[in-house]
Amino acid sequence: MIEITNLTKRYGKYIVFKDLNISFPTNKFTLITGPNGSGKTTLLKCLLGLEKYTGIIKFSNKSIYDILDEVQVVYDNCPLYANLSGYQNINSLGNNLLNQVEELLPKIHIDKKMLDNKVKNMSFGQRKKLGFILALAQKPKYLLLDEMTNGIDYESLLQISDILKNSDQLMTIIAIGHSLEFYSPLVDHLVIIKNNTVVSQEEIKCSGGGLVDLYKQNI
Amino acid sequence: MISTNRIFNCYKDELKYQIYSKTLLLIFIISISLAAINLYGLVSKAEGAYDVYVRTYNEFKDAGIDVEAMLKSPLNRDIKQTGSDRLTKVDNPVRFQFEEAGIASQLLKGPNIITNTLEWLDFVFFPIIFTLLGIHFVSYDYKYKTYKLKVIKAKWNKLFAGKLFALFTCTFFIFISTLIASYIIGLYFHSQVVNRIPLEQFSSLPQIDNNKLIIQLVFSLFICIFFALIGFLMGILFKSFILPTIIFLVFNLILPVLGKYDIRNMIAIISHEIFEFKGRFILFMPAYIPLYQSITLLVAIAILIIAASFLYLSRQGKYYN
Repeated sequence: MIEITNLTKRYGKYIVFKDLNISFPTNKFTLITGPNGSGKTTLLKCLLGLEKYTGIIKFSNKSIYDILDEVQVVYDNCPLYANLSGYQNINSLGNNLLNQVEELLPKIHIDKKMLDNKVKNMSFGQRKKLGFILALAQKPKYLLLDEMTNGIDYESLLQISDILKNSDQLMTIIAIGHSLEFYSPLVDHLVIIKNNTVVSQEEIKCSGGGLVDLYKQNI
Repeated sequence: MISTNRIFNCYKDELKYQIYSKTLLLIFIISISLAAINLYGLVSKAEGAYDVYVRTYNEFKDAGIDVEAMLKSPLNRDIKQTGSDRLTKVDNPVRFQFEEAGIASQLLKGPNIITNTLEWLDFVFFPIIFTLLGIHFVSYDYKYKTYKLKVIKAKWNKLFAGKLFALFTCTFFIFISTLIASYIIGLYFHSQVVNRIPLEQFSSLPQIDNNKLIIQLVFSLFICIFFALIGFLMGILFKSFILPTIIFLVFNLILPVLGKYDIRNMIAIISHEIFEFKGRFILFMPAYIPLYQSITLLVAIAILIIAASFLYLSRQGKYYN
């Protein structure tokens, strides 16, 4: 369980959140959604300990710094070393998990030969898939996904969806995004943020357009 | 223990990146090339000095002067120093050219190769090379936005401690490998000099005294680390490669020495104590401050740079966008 208690975040006089309280259930898939500028990414930064804040964030009663090995994140812009090949990125950013990465490659339609190419020659979608399997190969307990669906083709989205579906019993997944159709079959828990506060936090296991209806009701 | 492991993992990742990106190889090639240029210049200097000696000898001989007597006579030098200009007047040109040729031919002999390489690289090239290396070490993760991934693997202070240790390792590796390679190149060049100049005629001259080699090595390594630290701090302050590089190059190559407490002046104070500058490079004469003051201040500045780097890092945002 990830518990956020009385989280307040401000940039100077501007208050992003005030006394935010959210619980993310263990080994469930949580989607955080909301309009642009509602503070979703700031919340992600606070979860990862990348921003100063007041309040308490605990991962199974531990600080993020005590469980860094158990956390992985896939960022929207998918940072990788563009001047290195895919394999070299795996070796220098992926803690020597080449075998685990190679096992995952076919599941997400990445040819091994592609990893010989420099990342700067890969498409945005290919880079994002590489970043995703790099995170997944480390078998984290907590996986955070920031706008995961951006730039990925439909077929790959289906494959990613399958992988996430099979993974959410093994890890706590928190995704930030707007593609409600993509997340609908995956989500166990929905958090909607609007005007810098949580307007809805619901346990669901919906399919089809359920998420869209919930979103419309709250936004 | 976990902290040490995390720092070590960051350290290994840094080294892997430097190897994969071929940065170390590139810097090694640049350092070796610069050293080789100097060593080749020393060959030319030895040959040139010998030619001048032979010409002077023959000219005096043709003029009917007893040159053998001149060679055995003592040499008196009158040296006048005006700022960085040095004027040397001699009363025995044949003996003077004989000694000059003898000294020049010794510069590529054994440990003198190392001393000459250090004199050549320490004051212009190593400061640039290692400052740029320090800037690169910090800035490449800003460039590729990969800090966002790395600060999830280790807390920022451990991440940058790993970077710093990797920077020290690379600095040491480049420094040592440059010296080893230049020594081998120097030995080869010396064999060329031996083939062209009859060195045995200079055997009566005193050998160049080289009992300061260890201290020269230690001081040179300190210079490399010192400038790598300056680059490290500049990389943190500017979060990019180009701007701090331009600022440093302007400071180091264009701005004159700004006073006796300018780091270049303090380095020169120590350098003139331990190097003799008999090769191709002659360092400017520094404004006087006591030697112990130069050493203390430079060490203090190095420690302050490390402290300032981590203090600044602790205050800046961690979401390195």
